[in-house]
Amino acid sequence: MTTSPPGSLLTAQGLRKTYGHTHALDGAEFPIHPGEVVAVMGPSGSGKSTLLHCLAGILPPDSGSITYNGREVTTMSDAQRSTLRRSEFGFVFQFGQLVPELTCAENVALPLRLNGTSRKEAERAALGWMERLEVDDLKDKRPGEVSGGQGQRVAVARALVTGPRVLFADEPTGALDSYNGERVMELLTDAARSTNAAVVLVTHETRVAAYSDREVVVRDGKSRDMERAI
Amino acid sequence: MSRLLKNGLVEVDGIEAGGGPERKRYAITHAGITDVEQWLATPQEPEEYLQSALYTKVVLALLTHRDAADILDTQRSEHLRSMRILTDRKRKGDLADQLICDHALFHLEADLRWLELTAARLDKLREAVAR
Ligand SMILES: Nc1ncnc2c1ncn2[C@@H]1O[C@H](COP(=O)(O)OP(=O)(O)OP(=O)(O)O)[C@@H](O)[C@H]1O
Ligand SMILES: [Mg+2]
Repeated sequence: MTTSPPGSLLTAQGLRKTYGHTHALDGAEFPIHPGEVVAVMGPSGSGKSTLLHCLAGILPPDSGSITYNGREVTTMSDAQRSTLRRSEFGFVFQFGQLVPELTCAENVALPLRLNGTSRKEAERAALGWMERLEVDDLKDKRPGEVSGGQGQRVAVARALVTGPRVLFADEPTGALDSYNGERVMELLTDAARSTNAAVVLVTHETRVAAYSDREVVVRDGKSRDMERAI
Repeated sequence: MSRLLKNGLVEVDGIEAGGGPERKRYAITHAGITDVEQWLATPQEPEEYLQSALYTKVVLALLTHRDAADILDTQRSEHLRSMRILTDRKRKGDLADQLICDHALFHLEADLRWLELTAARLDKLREAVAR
């Protein structure tokens, strides 16, 4: 058993991940509490996305420990990890995450359908979230027929539809102009706060990071918790 | 106000007698309106930030071989503290709050972008020297 900070929902300790000679993660640490929004910042290539993928159980680290709700993630089977991701986590990335063949509403309903929710129930929940993100008028359009900013709001609705405990967002506003970026951050953090979900937010924009409660800086695969550093 | 009056941009429109001291009511004149319109139509000269204490401090710190990344991270943390307060005020406020907070937020962000670029430049410089 590893010791995680009291009250934390998701914790990583001593994470290492190597690609050939590149130490993408070199002893990174990360704690997050329920309802907390944590910005992950740092230069390009420093290991932010690698950290997020490890935390989310998408990428196994070479060594180190990840604890979610008291359970060790690194020793889970692939099936257990995939169940964990589907039922407890939500994801928003910079682009290209919506299924082009489905309508926006079907995209938002998809995670629920995969969890075995009935079509009717899934559609109802999907529309509710699309309303909250102000994109319910796009329900019958396909992702190819909406703008980048609209698509990103649809993606946020999809990430939240299962009521995740942790929302992972890697540069969610990276492809958006200032206005749409702000709006997505406002809606995303409002929604997360109202459901007490934790948000891991990778961003290089300080104005976006200003929506967080605290920031962690990653450099050369090492993390620095700026709150504790001061 | 007296200068506006002297230049004919405003005129006394009436005197209001109330409970307290009497108040003069002024009205903008035609010349005043033209003047304001002219002022609004003229682009503002950009302010240059060449006297900033932040600039001086960072450059001095770098010249004395302090770690650029460390300077960036601690300064960002300090800036973020203010930026979170402004963001919060913007979210709870009206349009006027949003405009003024955004103005401040973009300027604070600009400090950090400059600092980030400087830190990255120094890294490249160091790599080149080490090679
Ligand atoms: N699949 C991979 N194969 C090989 N190297 C990788 C792979 N993924 C990441 N890396 C390397 O690991 C390091 C960290 O990458 P990562 O994507 O985590 O950086 P990042 O901080 O997210 O950067 P950015 O801000 O540019 O997105 C980089 O040097 C990168 O080249
Ligand atoms: Mg990345």
